[in-house]
Amino acid sequence: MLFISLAKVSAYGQQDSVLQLKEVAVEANRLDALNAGDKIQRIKPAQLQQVQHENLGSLLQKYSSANIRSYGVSGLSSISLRGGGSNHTAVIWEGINLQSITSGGVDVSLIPVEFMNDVSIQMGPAGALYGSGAVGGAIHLQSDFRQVAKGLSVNLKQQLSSYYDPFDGDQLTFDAESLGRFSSIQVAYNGGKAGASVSLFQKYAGNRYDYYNRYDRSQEYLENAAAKRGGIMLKTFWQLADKHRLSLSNWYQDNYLEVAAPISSSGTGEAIQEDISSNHVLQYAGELGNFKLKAKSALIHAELLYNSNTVTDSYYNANTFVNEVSVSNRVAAHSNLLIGLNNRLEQAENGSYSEKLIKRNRTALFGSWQQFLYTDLELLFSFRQEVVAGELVPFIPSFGANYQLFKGFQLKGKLARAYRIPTFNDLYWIPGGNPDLNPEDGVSGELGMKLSSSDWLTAELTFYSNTIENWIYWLPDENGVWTPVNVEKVWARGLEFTSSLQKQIEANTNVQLWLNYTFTKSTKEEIKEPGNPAELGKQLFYTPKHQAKASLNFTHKSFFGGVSSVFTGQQFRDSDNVRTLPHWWVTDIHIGCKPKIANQHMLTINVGVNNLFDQTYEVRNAYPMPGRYFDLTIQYSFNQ
Amino acid sequence: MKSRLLRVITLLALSLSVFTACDSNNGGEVLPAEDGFFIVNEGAFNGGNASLSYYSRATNEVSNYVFETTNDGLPLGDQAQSMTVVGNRGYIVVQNSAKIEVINSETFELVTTINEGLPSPRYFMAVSDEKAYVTDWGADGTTGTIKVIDLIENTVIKSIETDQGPNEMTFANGKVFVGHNGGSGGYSNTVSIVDPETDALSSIEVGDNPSQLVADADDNIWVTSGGYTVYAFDNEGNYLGIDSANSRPGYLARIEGEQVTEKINAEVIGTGPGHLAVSTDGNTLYVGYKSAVYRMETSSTSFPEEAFIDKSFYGLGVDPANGNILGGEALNFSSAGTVYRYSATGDLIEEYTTGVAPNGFAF
Repeated sequence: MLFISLAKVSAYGQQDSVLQLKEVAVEANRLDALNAGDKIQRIKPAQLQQVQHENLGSLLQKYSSANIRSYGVSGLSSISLRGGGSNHTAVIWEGINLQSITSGGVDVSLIPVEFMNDVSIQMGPAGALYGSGAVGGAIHLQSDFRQVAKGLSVNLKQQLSSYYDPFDGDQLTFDAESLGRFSSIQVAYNGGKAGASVSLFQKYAGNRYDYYNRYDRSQEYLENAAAKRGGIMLKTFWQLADKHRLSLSNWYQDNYLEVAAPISSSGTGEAIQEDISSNHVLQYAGELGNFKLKAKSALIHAELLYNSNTVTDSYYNANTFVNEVSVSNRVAAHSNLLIGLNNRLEQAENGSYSEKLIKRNRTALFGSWQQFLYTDLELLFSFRQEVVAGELVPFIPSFGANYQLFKGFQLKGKLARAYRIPTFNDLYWIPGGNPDLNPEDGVSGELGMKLSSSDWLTAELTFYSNTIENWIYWLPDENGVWTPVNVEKVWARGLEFTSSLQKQIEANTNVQLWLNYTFTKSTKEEIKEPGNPAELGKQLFYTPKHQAKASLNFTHKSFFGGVSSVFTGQQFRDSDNVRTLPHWWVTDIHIGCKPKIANQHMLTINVGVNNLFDQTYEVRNAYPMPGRYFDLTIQYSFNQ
Repeated sequence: MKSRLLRVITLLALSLSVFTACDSNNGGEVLPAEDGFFIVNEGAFNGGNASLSYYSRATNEVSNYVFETTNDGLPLGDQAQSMTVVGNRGYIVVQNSAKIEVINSETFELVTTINEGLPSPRYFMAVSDEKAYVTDWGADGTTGTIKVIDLIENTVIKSIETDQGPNEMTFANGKVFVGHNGGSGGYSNTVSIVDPETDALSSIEVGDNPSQLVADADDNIWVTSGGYTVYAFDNEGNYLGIDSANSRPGYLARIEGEQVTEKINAEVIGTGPGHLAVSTDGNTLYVGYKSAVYRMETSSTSFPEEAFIDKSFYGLGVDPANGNILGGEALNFSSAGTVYRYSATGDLIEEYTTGVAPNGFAF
């Protein structure tokens, strides 16, 4: 299976280097086709495989240039790309933005990698094609059927993890509470003309591990941090005719989470939270002569119940209905044109809002013109004009270019405007909601170069600069009421370096190396009243300047293994850069084998050691992460 | 042997200080604030960034993070609510960490931590050589108690049940007066009066959620309240604004003996008076009200027309050594705050950068 994966990687590599072949195919999404000037990282199948029992946050933390800010091992995790926040990073599943209409963010700890078979990270603004919120970048998730084998396929997985560490003097306990468990079943049938699959998972993590509490100088166990999650994903497709395809994805998930208090507090609140999501996308893709048509309808439902014994319970219920059509046409031998219309009806109920049911209607016209010049230059112009609740938001243009200087070496450039409209919390929260807020408005430029030798090496270096005006920020007003205001301007700039190498050493041995480094400077350049002038020119908090990541994977006959390492430099934990959170460096290893038990029947056994060197670290102040822990995964697959 | 010596010293220091603490309204006393004062930086709730600053008169400078730097990097905790200096001991009440850190007020060195039996402590007051009271909101935010602390052993020895949200305390006529602001999510309309000899508690009705209080030169108690605000919604659940028919304004009230003898209502519902400080001679009140500080004599029967200092503060105090008015500004709770020092006539003397969210002062 891993060999197949490697083959796929090199196929992608080739796709990158041969510009002329890229066109809007029936199956391809906008990301694959219209990306000139963009830096896109696709998570490698071997990396995806390794974190399949984990959440999207863990995946991105290990294997992408994203910075994941998590409140402990089971707590809310948000993504930061290019120095932005969670509400500046769109998370797009099957082409639909999952960013919350209430808070603007996405808790990536709630997205199981198990349900995604393709994860790509698009760096930089993508607002022209994907709308509000794609400021620092966008994460694209696919659960589609394209990679499912013909006929019947089955995959069963069981994983166990334990914080028991024999090298750390821990007491061995095998009670159900302390053993983490992940189980999943996937059954698919791909009949060629039609297919269906069902995936189920259940995960329990007690997260009762010991840590040193530096606030009271004692060794303690983490309390109230257990997490129970379960979900189901149904996927179906019908090939209506040769060039007409209909597909449906349904994803339901329930997460029951204990909300751990920071170790600085007494934790008497014992908060619990239940997150329910139910997402459905129906898609049509077809061709009519020279025209390629796409249409999708989606319902994104999110529900949250929060209960603690110190504050009153809170609850919200949000629904977004999305309808989108787009047409693309190859207007000449070397140009493609895309035009589309997107409508979102957003509705939310929240006990703290000024109206019982808030509704907002958004319609956007978007388009792209892609032009290939000679054989080595690709130009892309995209735009979006959105109308939110009857009012025009700024016109969002984007220009991108790829230029192949010589075979295997590309120069890239992009200039784009980005925006983010206020969330329902920003506008309607009582007290403090500010209905007069303006959208955030940004301009971004980037330049990059990419070296790719399709059979073994790719390396990409990118410089970017992104300014965002009218940054929405909550501040207490004169009466101490927190209210969002447009008083700050933020400038994020930096560089990104990504490289991957793969080498077949012998007939049966393959090695893959992936390296990533990011330098991020994201500072407040303008602060108006009532902001704090002491923060002027200072780095945004929880935004490390340096992050370096590496992973090494190998396969040898039926054996495989890997090591991955993440270094996050010192970061500030307050906005005036007085206090810091120390740097951390965590390494995980795994080793396993895939004995073939019979034709098409495959067994995989994998043992992992996480935080191998037992580092003590916090990703957010006062939320300790686990020390060394172990996991064991057994997987059976048929025809995969 | 060593601990016995320590106790004797503590006792001596305490007896000296309780005297001054309880009589701090009488002008002319020797005051323990000659060298400087502490600034309590609350920090952000669940941010774990509470801290202590110290203002030195000799250098006219504020040193920040003095607790942490003196005690080998030990962080102060989460949400420092208040600090009280008794002799050479400083009692820092850290509410969300459910503890009181006891430090040597001269060296800032940690003496001990009281962390048993204080689920949500707010304010501390020594009532004798051996005994102190600590108001506490309870783990749920609404189970009000006054914890009795043995100052020799530094342990909680008794819990007195009270109305919801016991908050600030002040001492007058041999009694301890306690405002009840409802705590977190509760309601009360009383001020408790506790006999520090017997711990017997009685209460008087003052009005909605009395919160901060001081005693003046005549041993009268002044208390502020933000009032009681009800929001109106239509049948569909849409927000209509403040329900003025069922809301009541905040107030500044005077308690003489055990009677409310004056009650000055706020003009507008929803913006009542908050912070309250009294001048060293006990004849002038400084009231945080309408995003400013108002100065009024204890003989006043209405709020002044004009603000005294046109700035809103998160913490307000009067330096007993010179009558300077001190205002702490929190801004956004994620970066340093500022303390402003004004003369008794309201002129800004100097401003100082502090820790996160300066909410009070200890002298």
